[in-house]
Formats: sequence, structure tokens, C-alpha cells
Amino acid sequence: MATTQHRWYSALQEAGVLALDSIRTHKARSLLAIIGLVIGIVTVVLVASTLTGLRNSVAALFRELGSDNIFAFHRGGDPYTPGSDADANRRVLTVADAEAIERLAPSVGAVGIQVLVPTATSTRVITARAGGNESDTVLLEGASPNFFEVTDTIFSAGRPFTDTESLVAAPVAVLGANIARALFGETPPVGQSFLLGGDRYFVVGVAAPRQGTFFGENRNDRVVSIPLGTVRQRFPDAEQVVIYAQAREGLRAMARSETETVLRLTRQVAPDAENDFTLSTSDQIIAQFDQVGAQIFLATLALAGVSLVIGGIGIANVMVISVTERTREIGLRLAIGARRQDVRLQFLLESAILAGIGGVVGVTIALLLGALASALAPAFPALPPLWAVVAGVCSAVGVGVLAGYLPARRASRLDPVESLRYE
Amino acid sequence: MIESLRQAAGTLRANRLRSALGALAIAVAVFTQVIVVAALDGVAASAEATTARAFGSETFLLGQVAAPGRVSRREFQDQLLRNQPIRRSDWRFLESVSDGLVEYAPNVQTVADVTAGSRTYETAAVSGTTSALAGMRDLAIATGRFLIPDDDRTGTAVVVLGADVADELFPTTDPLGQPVRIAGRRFDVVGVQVRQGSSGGTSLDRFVWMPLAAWERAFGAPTTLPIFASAAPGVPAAVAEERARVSMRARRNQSPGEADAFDVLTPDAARGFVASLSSRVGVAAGPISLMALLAAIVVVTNTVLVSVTQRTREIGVRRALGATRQSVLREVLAESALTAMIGGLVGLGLAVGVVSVLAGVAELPVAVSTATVMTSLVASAASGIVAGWYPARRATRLVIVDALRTE
Repeated sequence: MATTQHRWYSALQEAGVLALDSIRTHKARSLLAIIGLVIGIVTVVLVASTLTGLRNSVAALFRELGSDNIFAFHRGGDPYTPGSDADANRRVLTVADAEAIERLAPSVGAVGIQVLVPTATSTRVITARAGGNESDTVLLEGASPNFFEVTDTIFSAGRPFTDTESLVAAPVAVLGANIARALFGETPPVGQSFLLGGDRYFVVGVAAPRQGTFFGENRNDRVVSIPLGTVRQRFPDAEQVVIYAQAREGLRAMARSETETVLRLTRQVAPDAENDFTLSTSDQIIAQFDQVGAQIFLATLALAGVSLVIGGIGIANVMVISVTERTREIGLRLAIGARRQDVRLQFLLESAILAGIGGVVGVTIALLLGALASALAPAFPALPPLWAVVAGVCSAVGVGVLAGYLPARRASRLDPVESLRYE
Repeated sequence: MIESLRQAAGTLRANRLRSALGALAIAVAVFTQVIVVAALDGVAASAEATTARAFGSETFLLGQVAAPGRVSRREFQDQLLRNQPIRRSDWRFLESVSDGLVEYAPNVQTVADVTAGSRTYETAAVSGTTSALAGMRDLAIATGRFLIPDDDRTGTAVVVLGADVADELFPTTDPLGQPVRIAGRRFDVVGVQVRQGSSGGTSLDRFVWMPLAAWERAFGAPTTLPIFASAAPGVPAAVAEERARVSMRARRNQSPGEADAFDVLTPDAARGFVASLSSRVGVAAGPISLMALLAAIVVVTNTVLVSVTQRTREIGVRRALGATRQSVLREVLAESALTAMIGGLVGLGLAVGVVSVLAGVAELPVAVSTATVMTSLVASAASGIVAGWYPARRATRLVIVDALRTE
């Protein structure tokens, strides 16, 4: 047993020395083969990091809405985009529905209410104006006083609304980070006032910039929130209510089914009818996004993989050349007693070493480029995902062995007599 | 030049496997590129085709704000403030001054449920229009008829149903002559459309067409009346568009130089929107497939470099016998360009094959355009030259005496 092991080791060592020698004597050629593979690896790892970064920031976007929250809306899908025709004539949820959930669902703690106020209809467009600054990309929402607590909103300045402010329909607002900067620049916004759809509002709070983005933007950073009571008075036609039911700790599943029961009750859904509203949680939305995203991710990765395949072709080419050049040498080695598997091992090792160097260099460059990219664009993950690095190196070595296999086999099958005669 | 190519071909033939691998690298890169471009073009083409079907390829739209989803909110607001609603009287004015150059068809739309007996089709797109619309859009009728000028005049309570609506309401019976109820009123079915399929996820078969006057009785006068328009037969589209625009400006008493107090959406504008969408997808796919080409160039460089190294002596001898640096340079570049061109042709051929199989068997709307063919050929030739540059320089800089001495 020990001797077999020893024999293996010495064969490996010898093959390794020969392989390294060959790489060293053909520096330019080996370097070019490695560069080809490096391009492939860098492409794959960078594409993988970009995709993962996008996915993670989208996931963060939904987690920021509270991972223990159950979102209820009368339509399916995203409340911020027009729904499908099938959902169009479902009844909207109401503030009374939210109050019923809070009262009747024991596993639900606080219930936050959000009312979407359309800022662009066929008859008017709402813009926000402060001093000389005007924004026409403002999004307007009514929020219950507890909404910011339910969604874990971090305030960079000021405070949320009070119950009294909502009750008396006070003209106060909490601004998203981007809209605050657009309206007030460097001036601290809290205490300032601005015009919105012709009315004057006072800023009582500013939310910190959100972490999550959906392809580079987070709509919440453009939101102007005003109290529910104020919405009811000034925008009576705003009726699209989103309910955020916060589950008590560890009771998310219970809270969800209770919310469903309560809503079916208040909306008088017949026992055998389907829900005429949609419940979702951030995990569920992320899972849906992953499902849709997976195909795009795979297609993009496959496209990036083409570079890797071409890098492999480059390695194979160098190996073919290496074998052809050393036909005589191989013949000689075979003639003086080298076994075919020794020859095969020698060439396989040569290509694996080439590819391994390519993999390590490629991953290193990808890491550096990734660090640079994340310095320029914070959404880009500073470190590529571990699986991308591991996959990068493994696929490089795999490509090397695959690319080396045929040339190595060709070398090991040479006829010693014929090869010795080869010029 | 011919001589260089002949020599290069000889070198390639003498080292078949090596050259084949170099060409293969380019082939894979070109194949990928062509497939990606064909797929993107296919997406754009199918989007355009469905736009045309929903809109009419020669039709343009006059409206207060013709394309609310496609302009920024700022522009939208400006248009709302500047443009007055379009009324029935505006449409009649346009008709009266068209001189037979333009045909107009007002078209208002709302969403409503359609019932027949106990069956309901929810949220159908109920359009009020005139018989003229049939001349502008692909409104093929399966049974019965579309609206006729008599319907326009009298506003008869008749409807033409989209295929989905007809199937849902009348699964077993012939819909023709049957009554349906919309917004509490009774309408008689006079026609059923041929099935049109869906575009961008929404069905084109959920429409219900009725005379404009009947629509107004059911739903009230619309706040603004969008008007479809197209050139009369034999009239160039530009002439018709100009006539429509000038008539509308006259109607609004606009002075020269003033911006239009209405909006016109032309098929070109609609196409531009689709094009901008597909170019955004291309932004990601482009650089990634370019990386593949870059890797392939490196592979070809390596192949040619090895070829030059192996022929150091030969090159030395040729130089010693009077060959110029120029001719050596030409020969090496020819070898590299030839490798890349062969690869490019193979890749292109494979891609065209795959695409035509996809187009033929799977009936996907993909095709390889002449522009793509030319681009990929030029790209592969250029890659060849780029790839050969370094080896060629090495070959021309060889010192003759040293070259002759190499084994």
C-alpha cells in the first residue's frame, strides 16, 4: 500500500516538474493561454457578482418593508403599477378593514395603513415646490401614525406624525431622502415648508436613505408621506389602501391566516369563493422575484460562460501544440520505459496548472475590479459571492483538465517507433 | 497580397488541428454574438408587430395627450395644461376639411362587464367608434359584419365582439343576433372578430365595438375624444399627417411658431419606444458577448504566435533571400485574418442554421439580418488583424542572423 502511494507521488512529482518546465520554456504562449482563460473567469465572476448584487438589493428593498409584516392589497401584484384587468373591479381595502384586523387578530400586533394618492391622473399632476426647487417625480402617500414604526423606518431627522396630527388633518409631511434633497438641497428640511398640489405643508421628519434598490432606485426615497386624516380631507378620491399587519414575534403564519380570516369576514367573501384581496410577505415577494429572476440569471451566466469555453479552447490549443512539438521527446520517454499513464498525467497536469493559474489570476482580477466597482457604486457587492469564486476556480481547473484530456490521450497513444522518427 | 494569402493558407493547412482550434474560438464567439443579436431583434420585431396590430401600422392618433405612459410627468402636465380636450365638434371639423386625404375614426374606450343571460364577461374593453376604423386597423370579422355608416348616423345599439368575449358569453350558440347587456343597456350582436392573440400579456380579443353615439348613451360624453387617423388610399402618409396637423391647428386658432395644442402619436414614435426598450436589454448582453470575442482574439494571437515561433528559421531564410519586412508582415497578418475569417464564417453559418431552425420549427420570430451578417464578418476580419498584430511585429523584428541560427 505504502509503495503504491509512493509510486503515485513520485510519478506525480515527475509529471509536475516536466509540466512546469514546459510552461517555463514557452512563456509567451503559456501567458496568452492563461490570459484567454482569465478573460473568461473575470467575465463569469463579475457577471455573477452583479447578478447577486442586484438580487440582494431587491431582496433588501422588500425586507425594509418589514420581514414580519403581512401586506394586504385588493389587487394581486405590485400596488405601484396598474393591475391586471381581472383584478380591476375588486373592491379596495378600507381603514375599517385595518381596524378590524387589529381588533380581531390576536397574533397581529400593530397594523399600519398606507393610502396611495395618485399624483398623475388624466386631469391633474401633483408636483412639489420649495423655494426655487420643484420636483415632478414626487410620490404621495397617506400614512397612519404607526406606519413608520411598523415598517422600521429610520429617521435621519425629525419624527413621525402624531395621532393628533392625523385627527385634525394637520398639513405636515415626512419626506423620503431623495425628495428632501431635491426640494431643500443642503438646508435641514425639518421645520421648513413646501407646496404640494397648491397646499402648504410643514416638514416634521426626514427618512434616512433606504438600503435596498430595485435596479438602482428605491421608490420610497421619493415619497412624501402625509397623515391619513390629511389625505381624507384634501385628496378624498384617493382610495387605494395597503394594510401592513405586523405579526407578533414568531407568529407570522398564525398572523397571516388570522388576517385572511378577518378580511374574508369584513369583505363578506362567500365560504367557497376565492379571496378578493391578496396577502403577501416580504419572503414571498422575494421568492417570486427569484423565480422570475432565475431564468434571466441563468441565461446571462450562460452567455458569460461562453468566454470561459473559448478560454478552454485556448488551453486545448496550447496543449495540442505542446504535444505535437514534443512528439520525439514522448517517443523517447516511452521507448526507455515511461508508462502511457505517466505521459498522460504529464500533459493533464500541464493543462491543469495553466488553467489553475488562469483561475487564480482571474478571480484576483475579478476581486479587484469588484472592489473598484463597489467603491464607485455602493449597490455593487464588494465581495463576489463565495459560490462565484469557487465556481470560477473549479470551472477553470475543470476546463483545463477537459481541454487537456484529448491532447494528453493523443500523446499517450503515440507509437514510440513512429514518434522517434518524427521530425 | 495574393501570394501572402496563398502562403498563409499553406501554413494553416500544414497545421490543421491548431488552426482549427483557433478558428473554433472565433466561431464560438461569432455564433454567440449573432444569436444574441437575433434574439434581441426578434423581441423588438415581435413587440413591433403586436404594436402594429393593436394600433395599425399606417395609423396615427390625435389626442389631448396621445401617449400618457410614454412621456415624463413634467411633459404630461405641460400637455394637460396646454392642450384642450378634443370634442366631437373638432372631429366633425377635421372631417369637413380633409378633402378626402385623411380618414378619421374617433375611438373612446372604457372597461365594463358584458352579460348575456346568466353569463358574464368581466372587464371587457368597450370601444365607441365609427365604421371608418375598419379601414385603418386589422379588424378581421369571422362572422357577421363590422359597424357600417348607417350605425354611425343612427347610433344603433349594436356591438361587434372580440373572440374571447364571444366565446365566454356564447360557448355553444351562434352569437349573431343575440342580445347582450352593457352598462344596463341592451345591444344586439352583429359581428364577431377573428381571434387576434395577445400582445405583451394582454389579450387583443377582449374588445367590444359599438357606434360612438351608442357608447355616449351608455357611458356619457367622454372628457376627451381620441381620434385615429390614416391616409386615404393612394395618399402618402406624410401628406395625411400634415393635413391632420394643419387642420387641427387651424381649429385651435394657433399662430405660426406656437407649439401644437394637441398631441399626435405616430407609428414611428411608438416604434421608438419599443426600440429604446430592447436597446436597454442589449446594454447588458453586448459587453458580455464582446468579452467572448476578446478571449477568442487572444486564442488566435496565440495560435499565430506559435506558428511564427516555429517558423523562425524559415522567416530568417526568406529575409536573407531578400523578402522585405513588409511581405513577412503581410503573410503573418494574412494567416491570422484567414483563421479568424474561417471561424467567423463557420460561426455565422451555424448561427444562421440554428436561427432558421428556430424560426421554422418553433415558429419564433427570429431572423439574422443582413446588417448582422456584415457586422459579424467585419468583426471577425478585424479580430484577425488585431490578433495577428503582435505576432506579426515579432516576426518582422527578427534579426536575420539570429533567426537563421535557431534550431
